[in-house]
Amino acid sequence: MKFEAEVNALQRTPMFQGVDPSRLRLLAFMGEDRTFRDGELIVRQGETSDSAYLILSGKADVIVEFGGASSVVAQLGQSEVFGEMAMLCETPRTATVRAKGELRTLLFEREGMLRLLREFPEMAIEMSRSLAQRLERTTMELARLRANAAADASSAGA
Amino acid sequence: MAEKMTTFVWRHSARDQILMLVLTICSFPIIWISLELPKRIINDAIGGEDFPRELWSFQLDQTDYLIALCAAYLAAITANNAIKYVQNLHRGILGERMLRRMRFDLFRRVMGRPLSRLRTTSPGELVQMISAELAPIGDFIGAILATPVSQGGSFLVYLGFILAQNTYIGLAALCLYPVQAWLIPKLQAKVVAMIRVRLANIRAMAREIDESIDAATELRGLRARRWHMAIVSRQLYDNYKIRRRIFILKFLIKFVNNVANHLTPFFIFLIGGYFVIHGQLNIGALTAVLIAYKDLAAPWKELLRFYQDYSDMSARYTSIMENFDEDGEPEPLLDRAPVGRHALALKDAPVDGLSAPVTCHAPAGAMTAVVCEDAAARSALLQALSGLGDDAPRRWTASTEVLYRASVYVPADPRIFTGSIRSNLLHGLLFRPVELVESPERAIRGREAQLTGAPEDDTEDNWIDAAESGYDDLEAVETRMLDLVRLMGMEDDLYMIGLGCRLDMSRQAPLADKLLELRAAIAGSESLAEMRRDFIDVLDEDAYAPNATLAENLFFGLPLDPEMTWADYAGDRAVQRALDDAGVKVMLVEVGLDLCDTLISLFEGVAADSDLFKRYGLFPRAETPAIEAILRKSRARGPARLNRAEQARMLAIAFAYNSARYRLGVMRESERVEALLAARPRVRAALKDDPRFAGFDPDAYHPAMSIAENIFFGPGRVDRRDSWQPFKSEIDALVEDRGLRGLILRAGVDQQLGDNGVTLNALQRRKLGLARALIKRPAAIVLDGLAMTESGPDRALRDLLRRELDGGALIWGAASEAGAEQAEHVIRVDAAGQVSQGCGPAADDAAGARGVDGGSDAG
Repeated sequence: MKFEAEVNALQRTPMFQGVDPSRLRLLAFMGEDRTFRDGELIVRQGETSDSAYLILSGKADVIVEFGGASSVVAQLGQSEVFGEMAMLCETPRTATVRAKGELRTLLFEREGMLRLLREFPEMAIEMSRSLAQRLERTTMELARLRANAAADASSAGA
Repeated sequence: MAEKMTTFVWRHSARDQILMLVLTICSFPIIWISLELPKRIINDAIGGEDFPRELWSFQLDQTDYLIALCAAYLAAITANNAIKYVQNLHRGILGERMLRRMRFDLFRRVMGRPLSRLRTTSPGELVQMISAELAPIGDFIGAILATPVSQGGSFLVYLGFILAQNTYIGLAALCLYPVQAWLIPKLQAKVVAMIRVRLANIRAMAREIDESIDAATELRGLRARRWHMAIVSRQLYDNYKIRRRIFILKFLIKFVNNVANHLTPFFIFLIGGYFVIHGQLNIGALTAVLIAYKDLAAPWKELLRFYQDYSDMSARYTSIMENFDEDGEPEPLLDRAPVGRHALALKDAPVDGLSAPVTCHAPAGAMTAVVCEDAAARSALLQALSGLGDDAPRRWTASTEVLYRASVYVPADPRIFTGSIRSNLLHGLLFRPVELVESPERAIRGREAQLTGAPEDDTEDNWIDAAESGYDDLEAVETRMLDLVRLMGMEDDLYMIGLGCRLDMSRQAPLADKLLELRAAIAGSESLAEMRRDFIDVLDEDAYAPNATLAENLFFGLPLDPEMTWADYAGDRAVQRALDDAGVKVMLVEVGLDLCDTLISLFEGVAADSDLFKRYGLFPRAETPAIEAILRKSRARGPARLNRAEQARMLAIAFAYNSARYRLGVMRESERVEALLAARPRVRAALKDDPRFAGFDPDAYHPAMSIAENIFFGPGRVDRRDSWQPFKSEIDALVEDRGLRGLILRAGVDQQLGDNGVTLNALQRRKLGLARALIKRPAAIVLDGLAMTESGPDRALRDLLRRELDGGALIWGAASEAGAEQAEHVIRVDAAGQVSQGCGPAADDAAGARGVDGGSDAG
């Protein structure tokens, strides 16, 4: 089966969970190879761009700049997807991603993705379901943190 | 246009119709002779006595007499048909001229329609009328007078001949014609009525199809696809129903005709035979009557058909012309604008969406904002100010009398015409031809134009008026064009377009040499050569370049014809022979089969009309069933047993395969790559002397590769595309140093942008629209829907435009007062649609504007 590794990796991404593998195979086919050398930037924080990346091999640092200082906040490895939010919403990149060593990725363009979604609306529904679940979890997490914070504040005040 | 077809025909082709008539009348005696001669041959030459006879002082015995009569018969028939040939030719040409006249006249009228009416015109319907519906009319009216006269005349000649032989037979032959002549027109009238209904229905369908495609997004968004399909389906049914009734009547008419035509020989045999037996008629005369009767049927049929066609065509004509009833003679194209003292001004002009007629102006050279919350009314007012209103010649004035430089209206999403950046930028200078280009065909074209009521304007002439647009010469226009591209921030885009296009070797050979030097310089520099290896798939005689197509790798070259790719040569004999000789044909067919197999399984479930397949596939979706049939055949019998056409199809698909882009693994790691590389020298040698192709040569410029591919000698690597900026910057610097940038930009200016500029994004289109306006050096630019606010970029754009306008006025639409901060003069439309005007917030330091008009005069 072609594009098997890509399909497996995509399936592990929250956004594509539950999407039919045959559609993901088509998505993988529509992707383009992108290779980066050590230290090259894949995306830059604040830039508007509309593609998502799947790491085929290698590692990448996620760097967030805040108040003039930048720090590595996470590391991405094989079969991880990044930039998928910007692909859907055209929002500015929230972080910079820099190749750590030789990095091979697959790039998905917004245009191709939208064509695919237009073609298979059930895929869009599946994706929005995943995203909604993720949002719900985040919201609950936020509520929990707020409650904790409030409890801390009241206990500190007492 | 005349309301009746006959009036129209007579007005524009009386002379030609009369000429045809004279020709027709000339043919009648010849027809009579061609009927008389067979009778003479049978009675006189074959059955006659008293030989030898004297003919023009020649003594002829029986055989010679027969030969002479037969030769005369042959001559008569030849002459008759020669006249017919001339007639037909004349009829065709005349018909075509009349058709051209009708088509152009309709188009001219449509182009002259007021914008408000033109916006409600359906292009699909118009195309249907102008192209398809008019065509048969042209053919018909070519001989609208000659056909009835010639057919009717022939009919009378034949009939007269029969009557001259024997009155009774003549009357017998005639007896059924009155029945036909009475019944058929009645049936025909019904057919005509239905034809009109059918035309209306087809037109409605064209409109519906047009709308369904135009509004595809909304239609799908509303999930109303099924409804629209039902509409068209219903219209097709109605069409069927009408056609069915037409068929019933048409064939009934045919039936009546056929029966009547076959009854007559019955009478001729019966009555004629009786007379011959009783010695009242000779056999030659009976034979001649039979021949004449056989010929009688043809003109009668033609006459009936003419009658049918006549009613059909007049119905068609009337039904088309009804759509243009409202169009009077279009306003003549103006050269000069009505001049006023302001940059642009309206006086009591009606504006769509505003209740009262509007009087307002934009001062010369000033910044004027039109503030109106309602976008539609604002747009209408801005258009009226630009002189695009329906009765502009009476209500609108401009500061310059040169009409095409008075004002330019620029919408937010300007229409880009199919063509190049150059043709788009210069579009605003195509006002009228200024210099005629002599060509041998010119006189003929001019004559044809006169004969068909068309203007003599010719697209081959030079239309660009450098002097009147304020330029020294065409070179100055060219320079300004590139300046504007730079000012609008499009230079990088244009540079990229230029890099991606092919050089026209006939015009730019010196540039090719310089690009070749650049290639050598890059290859010669150690650091650049290393970067080149990283970012470019450098072509190498002994290696496979995954970023090039399979065919480019196999042949190590490209076809020279810019319209052709290797896939177009898959069926070519020389190419196939080369592949056979190198022993790779079957392997390549297998690659094609593998590709099709993989693509079909990948795209399983994708709708047939999807653009996914068009974008990512290697063959049109509609071809899938044919491709599947080839796959089945090859599975059952092996790829070598596919026929030549099937193999060629697979080869074409394989040829276009690009491994870096498609990544479908059909090269089986390196197995097939090695076979291909091994075959390369033999394939190359076989096609080396073929003038249609050129091989890649590290030391030669390849005309079929883009400028960039020539500089780098190879395609860019897809997988490194995102990181090549540092390399590109170094190359750009080199290009600049060597003075090549301008030349590449000029090459880019000529690159085709695709239909309606599809290759440009919205921002690029907008920039192009602004540059197109500025190049006219207009007295005023009117912006509708862009630079509407006080934000930095909008302000910067207005400043830039004002600077480049060089004393011209800038008018822009704003949704609120905030967008008018920079204006020296403001035209306001309040919520009630009342127009007032006055100094803008920025007018304190622009006394000129206030001086012209201090107060506010209500509209």
